[in-house]
Amino acid sequence: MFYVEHIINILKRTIFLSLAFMITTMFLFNYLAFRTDIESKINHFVASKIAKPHFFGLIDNKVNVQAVRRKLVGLPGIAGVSTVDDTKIKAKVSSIISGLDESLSYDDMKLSYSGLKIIFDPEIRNKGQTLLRNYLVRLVGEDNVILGPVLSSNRQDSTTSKWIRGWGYLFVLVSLSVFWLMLTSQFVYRVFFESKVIEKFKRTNYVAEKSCLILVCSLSLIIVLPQLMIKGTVDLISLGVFALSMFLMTILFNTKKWI
Amino acid sequence: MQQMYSNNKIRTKRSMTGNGLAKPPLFSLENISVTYGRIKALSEINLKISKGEMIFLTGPSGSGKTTLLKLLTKDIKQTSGKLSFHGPDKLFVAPVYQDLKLLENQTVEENLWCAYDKKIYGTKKYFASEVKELTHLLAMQNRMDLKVSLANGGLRHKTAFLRALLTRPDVLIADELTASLDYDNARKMYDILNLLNVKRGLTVIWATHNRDLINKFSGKIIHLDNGRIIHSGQSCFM
Ligand SMILES: Nc1ncnc2c1ncn2[C@@H]1O[C@H](COP(=O)(O)OP(=O)(O)O)[C@@H](O)[C@H]1O
Ligand SMILES: [Mg+2]
Repeated sequence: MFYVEHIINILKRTIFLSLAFMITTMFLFNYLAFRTDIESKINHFVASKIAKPHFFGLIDNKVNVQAVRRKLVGLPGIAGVSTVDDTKIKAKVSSIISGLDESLSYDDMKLSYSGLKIIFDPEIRNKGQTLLRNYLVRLVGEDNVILGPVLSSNRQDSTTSKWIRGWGYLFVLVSLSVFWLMLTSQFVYRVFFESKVIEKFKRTNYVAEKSCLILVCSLSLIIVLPQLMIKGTVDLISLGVFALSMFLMTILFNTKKWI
Repeated sequence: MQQMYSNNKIRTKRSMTGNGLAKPPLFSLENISVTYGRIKALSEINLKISKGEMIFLTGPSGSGKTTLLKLLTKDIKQTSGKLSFHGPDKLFVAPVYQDLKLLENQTVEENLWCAYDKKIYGTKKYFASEVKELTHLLAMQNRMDLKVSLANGGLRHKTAFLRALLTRPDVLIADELTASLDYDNARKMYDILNLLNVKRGLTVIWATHNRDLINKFSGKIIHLDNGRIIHSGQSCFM
């Protein structure tokens, strides 16, 4: 059939553009179809990466804090140890000691303490966490250390995951859509350009429009197949969005003067 | 091999329709004007073109030749006046545009294949044999695989010419067809058109500002100036 041959010829001649166009189409509209699934998977993954349980410890400066730090870093189950900025200690100390013992006050601490932030591997369970904390107490001596409670996450991390939930997906969706629009308009332009010229030498009309229709039908298959294979159902909304965008683009190109 | 020229009954004489004899016209233009913004490209043109006419449209650059041809190929619409198409059910008009409109990133041969129509040729083989015959006539058979963007002006014009001719049109419209061709090649094209004109009643409308060329060919001359027909008649050379 002439139209199929025509489309295949254009695909062959613009092989890189065509491939990029088809792959992006598949990605974008399947992303739309699987959006909730994909996002919940990513949320889960991000949460497991970000939610690192950790605690703060105040260690008397008569102990070699750097040596302690090096020892801790080497232990299995510890993801990282960082020294807390001296200026930050002041702020943190009050909250930590109030969580430990109300009779202690900030003044008793003086400036003889250094702060460490000890981060556990996310896989380490409560039992392991207690073992490691006990090890630290034994290492520096019970009198020389004050430990804060284990916190599951910190504020900065949760803002990251909030940002991803709020704007990250939108950002991905918008940039993917813009990229798709660029590729598609480029491709549909080629289809129109060649069709409008060829049409002048054929006894048929609407070559460009019919070609686009064939393109939409065959690309719908590319979009639907993964959905059928993975989910067994077809997401009609994403398919509708695809068909509508192609339809609008065809209308838009139709207003251009080609000859 | 079946020759394209032997399909139809030979009509020995070109139909003499220039004087408005019995035949109904293919195109009739009544008070046609075309304006581009403030520029009047054609003003109040009255013209009838009948089947089997060989017309040379002459006139200086900017006189409206291209505009008139684009009306006939339905690429533009008149601003005012009445344009009617008659003739066979689907009058097929094949254009050779002034800027050729070739598919630049394709080969000469691929451009010619634009003209293939199964309903007319039946098989691709038959079309291919006709391509072979015509490309031989124009001595371009060795450059069929050349990308059009790399072809010289003469080859580009020949490609555009054959692409239109191979559609087997009722009317062939050629805008400055011989712009980058020498006399020999122009002559060959004229001879092919003339043969088809006599044998198949092909109507030819050929725009050129090259008067020397026209004086060597025979046909009806329509001279345009400033968007008006200022002279119309048979060329002196026969
Ligand atoms: N697309 C256009 N927009 C504006 N003016 C045009 C356009 N096409 C042609 N013209 C003007 O119309 C007049 C006739 O042009 P054209 O038909 O191309 O003449 P010719 O083919 O005899 O050289 C010229 O003055 C030209 O500048
Ligand atoms: Mg012109």
